[in-house]
Formats: sequence, C-alpha cells, structure tokens
Amino acid sequence: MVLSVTEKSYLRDSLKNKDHFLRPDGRNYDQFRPVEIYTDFLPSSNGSSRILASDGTEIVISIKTEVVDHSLTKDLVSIDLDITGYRDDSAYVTSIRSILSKTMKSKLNFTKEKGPKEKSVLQLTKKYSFKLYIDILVLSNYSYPLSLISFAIYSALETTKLPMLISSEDDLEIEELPIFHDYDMITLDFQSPLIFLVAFIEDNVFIDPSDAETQVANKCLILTWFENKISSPIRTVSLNDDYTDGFTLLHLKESIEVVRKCAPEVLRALKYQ
Amino acid sequence: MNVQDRRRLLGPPNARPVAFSKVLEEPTEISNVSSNDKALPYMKMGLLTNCNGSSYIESGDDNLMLITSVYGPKPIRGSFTSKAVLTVHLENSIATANNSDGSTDDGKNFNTSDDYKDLSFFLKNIFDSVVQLDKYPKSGIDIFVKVVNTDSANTSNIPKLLQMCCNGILLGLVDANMEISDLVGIGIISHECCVSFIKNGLEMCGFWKMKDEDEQDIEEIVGKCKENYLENKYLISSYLNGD
Amino acid sequence: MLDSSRYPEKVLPGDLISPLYDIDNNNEKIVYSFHPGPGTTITKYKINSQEHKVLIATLKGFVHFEELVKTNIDSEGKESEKKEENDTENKNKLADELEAPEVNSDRIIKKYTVIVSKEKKNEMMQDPNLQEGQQDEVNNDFANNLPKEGDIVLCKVTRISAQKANVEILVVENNNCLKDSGVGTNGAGVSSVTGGSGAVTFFISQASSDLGETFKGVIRSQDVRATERDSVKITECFKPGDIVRCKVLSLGDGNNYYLTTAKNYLGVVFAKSLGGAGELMYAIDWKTMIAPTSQVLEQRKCAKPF
Repeated sequence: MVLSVTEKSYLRDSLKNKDHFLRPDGRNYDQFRPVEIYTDFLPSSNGSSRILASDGTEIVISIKTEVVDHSLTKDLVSIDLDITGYRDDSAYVTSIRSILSKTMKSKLNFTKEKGPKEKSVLQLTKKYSFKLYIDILVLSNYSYPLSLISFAIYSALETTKLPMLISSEDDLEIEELPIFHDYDMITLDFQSPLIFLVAFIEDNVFIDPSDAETQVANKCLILTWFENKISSPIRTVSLNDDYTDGFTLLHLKESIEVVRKCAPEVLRALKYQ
Repeated sequence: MNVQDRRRLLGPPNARPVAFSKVLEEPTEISNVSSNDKALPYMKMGLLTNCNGSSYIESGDDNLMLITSVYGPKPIRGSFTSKAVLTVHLENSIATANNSDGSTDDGKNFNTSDDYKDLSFFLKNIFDSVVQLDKYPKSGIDIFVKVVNTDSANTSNIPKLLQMCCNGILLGLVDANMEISDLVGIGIISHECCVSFIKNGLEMCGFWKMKDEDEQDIEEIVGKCKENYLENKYLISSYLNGD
Repeated sequence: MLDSSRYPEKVLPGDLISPLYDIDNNNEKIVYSFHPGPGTTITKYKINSQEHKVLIATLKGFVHFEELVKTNIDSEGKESEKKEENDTENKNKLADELEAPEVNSDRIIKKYTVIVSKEKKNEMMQDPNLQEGQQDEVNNDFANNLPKEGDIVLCKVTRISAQKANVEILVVENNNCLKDSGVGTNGAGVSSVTGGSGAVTFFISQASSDLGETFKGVIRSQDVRATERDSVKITECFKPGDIVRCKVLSLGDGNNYYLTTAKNYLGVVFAKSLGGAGELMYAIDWKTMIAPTSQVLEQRKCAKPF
C-alpha cells in the first residue's frame, strides 16, 4: 500500500523519536512479526516449506536435488525466484535473487573440517555431488520478502530428505555410479543462513520492518546469521526513494547487536516447529 | 528490450554488433612506474557529446576502464512524480562478449546479468542519497556505466569496480551540471568489502560485504574504508579543482 | 555590504559555504541571513550530538551572494506588471520571508540568496545598467531550469480543442532550457537508446523513448484570460504553431504542466496568419493580430508586446 505524504510524515515522526518510539503494530524494536510455517507438504520435492507472515505475505519453497558430476557442474545451487507483481528482470527481483544465490553458494561451500577430509556439504562421493534446485514462489508480497525467504529456505532444508548412499564414497579409482538405498533417506547436515533486515530511521534501529515502515526508513541493512555468528552478506538496501539520509557507525553497531539478540530466538522458534 | 525501436537506432533485427578479434601479440610491458607509488587513476570529463554529461575513468593499478554517460533530466510520462526518477545501468561489454562465446563462468568470475543488476541497484541507492532529486520534478535521470576493459583476474574484485563506477558517475553528474549534495565516494578495504561515505566520512550511505573473511570488527572495517575513501575523495576533488 | 571574502569563492559539490545566519565582522548589529538559491542547498551536520544547519554547494562553480531587496515586495498588488515579471523568480523565496518578523530587535537583518554558477563574479556583473536579477546573457549553465510554479515559459501550441490548448514548453524565460528540452521536434535531442527511465513505466505506450521529448503543458479554457472566463473560445485565442508566453500554474499531472495566460503580458507572442501559411502577424489589440502586407486579421489572445 502506498502511503500519502501526511501518512508518511506521521509514521516517521512516531518512529524517529528515541524516547517515544512507537511502531504501528506496537512491536518492540527487536520484535518479529509472527509467522506460520508448514513444511514437507509437496510429495514430489525433496523438501518444501510454506511461510505465512502476519501481513499476508505468503511464500512457498520447493527444494529438489539432482546428482551431478561436480567436476563438470560448477554451480551446485540453482535459485529460481518468482515474486507476484514484479517482472523477473526488475531490479527488485534480481537484487534479491542475486543476494540469495551468492549467500547460498558461499555458505554451502562452507566446511567445518579443514584439511584433507574437507568436502562441501553437498558432496556425495569424490566425483558426484548433489545439486540443489531451490524454487521460491512469493505468492503475495506485502513487505520486503528476503528475510522471510531465508526462514523458509531454512525450514525447507531442515526437512529435505536425500537418498542414502550405499555404494563406496571413493569412486575416483573405480568407475562406479552412486547407488542409493531403496527407501532410507538422510537429512542434509546443513544449517541454512538466516537473513535479517534492520531499518534505520534517524537514530533508531529496528528489526523486521513492515511495508509501511520500509516506506519511511532511511536505509535498511541486510545482515546474515550463520553458524551462530554475524556473517556476510552485510549490505545496505534502500526500499524507498523519499528518505535517503546517511547512517553512522553507531547504526551498524546497534543493528549487529539487535540481530545478535534476535537470531538465536528465531533459530529456536524455527527448530521447534 | 521492451521499448519499441521507433527511432530506428538499433538497425535491422539481424544486425550484429562489430566484434574485434583478440589482440594476439603480447603488449610490450612498460614498467617505468616504480612499484612503490600507486598508479593514479586517469580521469576525463565530457568526452561524449550526445549525452548531458559523461566521464571516462581508468584505474591506475589494474586495467579497469569505464565510460559513464548521464542523460537528463528529461520528461517522463505516465504517473506524476514530484521527484526525479534515477536509474543506473551497469554493463560489462567484455563479460557479455565472453559469455556469448559459450564459455561458462568459472564460478568465481562475476558476470551474470543478475549480479550486474544488483550492483546497479546498489549504486542507484547510493546516488539517490546525493542527487538533489526534488529539484527535478517530473523528470528522469539515466546513468549508464559501461565497463570497456578489465583484467579478467580482477572481474571478481567488486568493491574496486564499485569504487570506480562511483567515481565515474560522480564525474558524469558534475559534467552534466546536476545538483548533487556531496562528492560521495566508496572506500574499499579488501576484495570483498566496501563502504560508501558522504559528508567527509561523517556519514555512510552504503555498505557492501558479500563474503566472509577473517574476523574483523565492524569499527575497524569502517575506519579503514574511511581512510581509503578520503584518499579517493582527495583525488577526485583535486581533479575537479585542477580542471 | 557583505564581505564575501569570508566565504569560499570556488566550490565543489558538498563544500560548505556558510551558516544560515552570520554576524558582520565590524558591526555586530548587522545579521546576515542566507537563503539557498540555484546550486546550493541546506543540509544538517551533526557535531557533538548537536545539529547545525549549513548551506552547501551542489554544483561545481563560483559562489555569488545576491542581496534580496525588500522594496520589491512591499505592495505586490500595486506593482507594475513589468516589475512583477522580473521578480517572479524571487517571489517564492520572498513569500515566506514576508511572514517572518522583519525586525525583531535593534538588529538589522540583511537577506542574501546564495548562488553557485559556473561564471566568476566579475564576469557576471559586466553591465551595471541591467536590472537586478537580469543578466546580460541568458544564464545557460543551469541544467537545473525545469519549469516550476510561477515561472514564465515560452511554449508552442501543438493542438487545440474546445476545452484546452496543448502546448510543448520550449524554454523557461530568462533561463536556458536543457539542451535536449525544446528541440525534440527537430530530432536533435539527447536521449539514451536503451530504456533508461523511459522503461520505468511498464507499458510500452507510456514509454517516453521517442522523439518530441519535451515537457508538455496545457492551457485550459478557463485559464486563458482573467475576465469572462466561461465564454472563452479556444479557437479565437490560439492556433497550432503559435508561440505563447505562459505562466506555470502548477506541475500538473503526470503528462502536463498547467499553464495560464490570464495576465496582460501573457499570451501569443508570435503567430503566422492563415494557419501558419501566411506571414508573421503583429498584435494591434489584446485580441486581434494583423499581417502587415496582406492585412489579414486574426483573433488571438495576445501578449502585451511592451
């Protein structure tokens, strides 16, 4: 919903004051909107999730996998994003897609063990890997969906079932196609990164801005939570053309603090379901 | 392209752009520049005549060359806008030429169109904060940045690219005599992180960090970027004053 | 007189010029109040958690201080029209000053507009005979002369109907238009080939990447003259091809500026007889023009030529 000039100025006034900070839905600066998540409902995908935010945003995610020769295929993640009401080549969609695919690619290459045993999460044998296809469908979109998409990917990946390998892992010497167990499945040992959005208005910093709030925010900061710490990508994004003031180091520090505070709780909530 | 080519600017549909074959002989190395002092970027304003403002910039240490053209303010039709609409288009002619050969990107190279659009979006966000958009109602300002040359090894150095783009656009806007509130600049710290500053480093208007590196405090990152920004700003302002 | 050597002479965008108020060095009773003109803007700096408002440059060039003379606005209604024309530019800025108390103590407040332009000061002040606010040459260094409320513009009539006349804005008076505005019909305009803001609008029919990219305006029949506004017949006031002097009423809608000719000095300035086929005509009264050799009389809403 596009706000009028008066509505914007009213909203901004109530959000910019440090002492009388008041969000339109009465939340705290570090409080999320409630979300509902359903998982594992698409029978033909390896993993799926559907997230419903309180403002009506609805996102459906399906994760499918394919076994590929990783010496031939470089990209082990393919992200397809469709947002209702936006063209696929619009800056809004391409920017979200680019952030998501860069995040997922870099995090999936992440390895806990360094050294000779090092292998990526998706690696199956020495020759073959799983390739993930993440299809994201934003059915209705009432606020910047990046954060919710990352939650949905997290839940979908938590429930993603991959076929269990029963052939040998070392297939460099002996040419052998991977053979899978008939019905036993394994889950992916990977915690997907969570992306948080923090908005700045004057000196105030608050998490998870709603659509109306992004319309009056100066800048928003994207922060990622991975492996229990703040991680990249960290970058700014402007979600309106009207308010373009700069920000200071204090804003960055405060937003890192608020994400540090929120992220474990969000993670716990997502795990619980 | 979704806009009809009513001006016949694009030629017949089966026309193919001129492509030059690759230079085979190795260019002779000129190494007069001592490695100690950093090669300064070469800057030039107003090279193009068919736009309102333009700039050409060549970074000193790698072979990054950019041409920026600024069009506008020109009327836009349709819905009423009380402010100018700014658009930034960043394109890499080399990357697209390579891709059309069928060569796949090696996973590290940075040349998918999505990523360029994302960079354009980031640059637009930066310049939204400095261009005095409300002085140009009902208008559009279009900025085109074209990467004409780059060392292939350096295509993944996004912060450097962003910094040079930012300088190029800035000079283009000054050449177009567009009202801008500050000489915005980007300070880089590594191959993965950069910060854009305004007001002599008092405020930031953009932050970019796409990959994790060694543990670094945010304060340290900003501080180092600020030093780099001030160096860069000094270059720009001394160029503008000397011109 | 303001000692301008206290302030920077040559600036780049973002450079500080002056605070909003300053006190004279020699006489503490004189307070200078500075107002942003073309090429400058007000910005806030936060130092030690205290906000300071300052004037900064937004263009590269030289700083000029122009004193705002109060007498111009003493009795707006009684002013001669000639004067009003010249002052339209200043009026917006002066209007809000009218509300402010002129003298609040024994201090003398002097108001200056701060301007940044490409020319140096002494070059701009070449001809002392010129009226204030007018330069001997049209100041063409502002790419920033988009028509705004209250500006006088010269337009060309493109289309007339019973309710309104459509025009395209060629130039803002006393100012240069952008080099690509106003030349659209000649095809010499500057425009980007690939999309740009033309592609901002989703629909091809709305995309503006075509020739004739000038700002458009509309003169509604009730804005043609100040009296008998309901009985205006557009065909008796304008013909396509006429050059009309208008005043901008408002920024209008997405497509058109709203213009008016309801003043003596506004209306048709150049017109050719017989629908453009004849010769240039001259105004003989406010609603008739005559072609000097063929003696053709045509009806127009003429601007007072003197």
